Amino acid sequence: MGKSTVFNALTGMHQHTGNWSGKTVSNAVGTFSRGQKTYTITDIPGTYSLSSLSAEEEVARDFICFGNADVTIVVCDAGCLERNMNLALQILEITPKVVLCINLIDEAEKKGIFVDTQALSKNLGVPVIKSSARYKKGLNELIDQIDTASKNLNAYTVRYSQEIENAVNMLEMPVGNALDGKINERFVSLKLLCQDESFLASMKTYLGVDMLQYDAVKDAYNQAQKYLLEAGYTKELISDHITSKIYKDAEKICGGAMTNRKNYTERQLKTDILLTRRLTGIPVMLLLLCAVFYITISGANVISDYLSGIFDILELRLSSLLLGLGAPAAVHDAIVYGIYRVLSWVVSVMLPPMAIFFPMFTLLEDLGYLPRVAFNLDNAFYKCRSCGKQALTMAMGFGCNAVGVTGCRIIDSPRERLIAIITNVFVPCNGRFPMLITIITMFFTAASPFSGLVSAVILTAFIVFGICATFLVSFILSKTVLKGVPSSLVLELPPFRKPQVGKVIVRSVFDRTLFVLGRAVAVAAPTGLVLWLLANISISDVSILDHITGFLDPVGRVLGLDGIILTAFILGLPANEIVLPIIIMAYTSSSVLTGYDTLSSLHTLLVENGWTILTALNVMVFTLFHWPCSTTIITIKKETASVKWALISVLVPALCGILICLLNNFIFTFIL
Amino acid sequence: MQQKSLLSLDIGKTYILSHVDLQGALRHRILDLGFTEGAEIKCLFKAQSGSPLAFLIRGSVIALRKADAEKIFVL
Repeated sequence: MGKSTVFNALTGMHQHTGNWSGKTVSNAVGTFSRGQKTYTITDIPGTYSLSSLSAEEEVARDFICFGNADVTIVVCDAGCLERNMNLALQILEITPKVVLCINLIDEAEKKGIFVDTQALSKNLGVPVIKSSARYKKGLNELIDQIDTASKNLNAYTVRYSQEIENAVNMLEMPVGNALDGKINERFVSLKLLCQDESFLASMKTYLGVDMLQYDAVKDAYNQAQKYLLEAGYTKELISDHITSKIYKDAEKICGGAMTNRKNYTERQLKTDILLTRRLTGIPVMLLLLCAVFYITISGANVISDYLSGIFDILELRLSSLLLGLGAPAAVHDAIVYGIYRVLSWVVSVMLPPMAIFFPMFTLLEDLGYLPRVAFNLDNAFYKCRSCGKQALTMAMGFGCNAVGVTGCRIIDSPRERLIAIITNVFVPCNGRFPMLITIITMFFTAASPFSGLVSAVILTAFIVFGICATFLVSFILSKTVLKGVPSSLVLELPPFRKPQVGKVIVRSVFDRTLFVLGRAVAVAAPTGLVLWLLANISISDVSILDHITGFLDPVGRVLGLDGIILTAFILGLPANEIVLPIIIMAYTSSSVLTGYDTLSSLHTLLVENGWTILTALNVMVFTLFHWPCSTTIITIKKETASVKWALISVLVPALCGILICLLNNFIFTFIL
Repeated sequence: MQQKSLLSLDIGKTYILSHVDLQGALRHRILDLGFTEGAEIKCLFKAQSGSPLAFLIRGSVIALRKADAEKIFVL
């Protein structure tokens, strides 16, 4: 509906927006000023209603009910006003201080849907404005109406059947006494009648009020329930009636205030059929993925070459500067060969693919393509006893696994959510796939005249392999530690929307670039230094690094890797971007440093250190399947509120990696 | 009269929703999306395996699995 877009337009912030429900899973706070006044505004996750809830919708409901906001802005999609009116009417049950913001109005008017805001406003008793937040239209009016709404005392109230109204009357008085004006008593009474456990639990958390502890409330509650039961209202029927009645009112209110034209056009339908049909659905998906990789790889090559050229020159400058300052050789070497080299490596090799991949992926997301992928893959997930929305969280994992893990809040069933969390690392994040690209290019495609294309195909195949592993592991988990049957899928397929190409590119390059640079400095630089120290401080004539890698070497060999690679993966725990630089640093630390700015000299270095095709393959496997980075592990612990699941999330991919590497070794040794 | 579930709708034809025979949280969610009595509904397309199915209801497209669609009925 574009809440985050409205939020960004008002505050000038850059909350990520996407064209699918569930993009925003937690609150974000921003401010904006107008004249003398400063407004604080909170962007909350989208929700269909205040009563049927997944984890991220609970965040939204709790803020609406207990956040003590002065004004609530309800952002609706003009294209499906009726359904959004359902939510708006529920919010009006809590507070009349509401502005109804009918967003995406441009898009709707193009389809022939016109909304009469005056009629709506008159019916609802709250200010109603039209906006098109993407194009910054209607925002001034929105701000004007915020002040009006903050003084609003009365709004439209949905009236239910006589029986339910009678029951509400019985409850309202004692409930009101118990609440002391903290929250609307009619709303709480209705929630009591529906026996909304989750809401009552939140009341305890936020208001410290346990409604049924009050004798007067309890008596009235029992009396009201008894009355309703005698009138034929079971628990289910009460909430059914309430939902249906709200919708009936929504229909009436919207019907009188808008021209009812089709929101879903023939063209949309044709596209959807193309994207989901048997013969075209999956191939289109793979082609898109492959195309995105191809553009990423070819584009990144150009930028990488350019950047490493610059870094070479800068290295000479830095070196002569340090020597000129009279720095001792050890300090000079530690800074130049330790910190600087790792840093420039991360930036010149890792950054370009990220900077290209991320905006392209964001474009697909903006377009509304991702839910179609979830639609296509749902039956496979169903067979693995998990949820099709897992495809959405996997897609987010391409950007960052920690984000993917948080995104798993959109999955309703706790069991399926855990499966999605544990398997999220099977999608290579932005920090890992540049490493995959580098290895693929060096060992598998460098000789080919169509190197970029072949690399893209191999990478796609590898990603598909990761997806297959996701299915398999999801299935195994469902049969073992997370036993259960698949629940349901309720997936909204949003209308396709023209992405804001320029904005997406600028924003994601800018945000990503800064983010990755920051992380590189924060993690890669000190790691580079530590590594240099490890390699240059000796205990009984052997460097500490050699001690460590020597110790891990037998384990590494069994896996078809070596001690240094394994050490690199362990040291790379804080950020996967630095695994490959660490490997290179370790290999070069003992020998004379040669230029390794180009891939072919890097290839030579690796081969000199014993890399074969098998090593390359196993490193790729281990890149995809090892342990999540520390940020992701911390996120998993937070999201699952359990050390156990965080531990399992570390063990499962590690175990997969070890098994696949062993299998590779076996195949290469005994079969090939 | 034989009840007609969402599984057996002709694709592209508009029907009027009658009732939802699901329980618990899912029922709640489905109703909240506007699958209430009297709503117009149309089956748009199906995934290759027949599940999930995409429905147009109240201006938005909602995909449901076969097992759930089977328990929602039209007039």
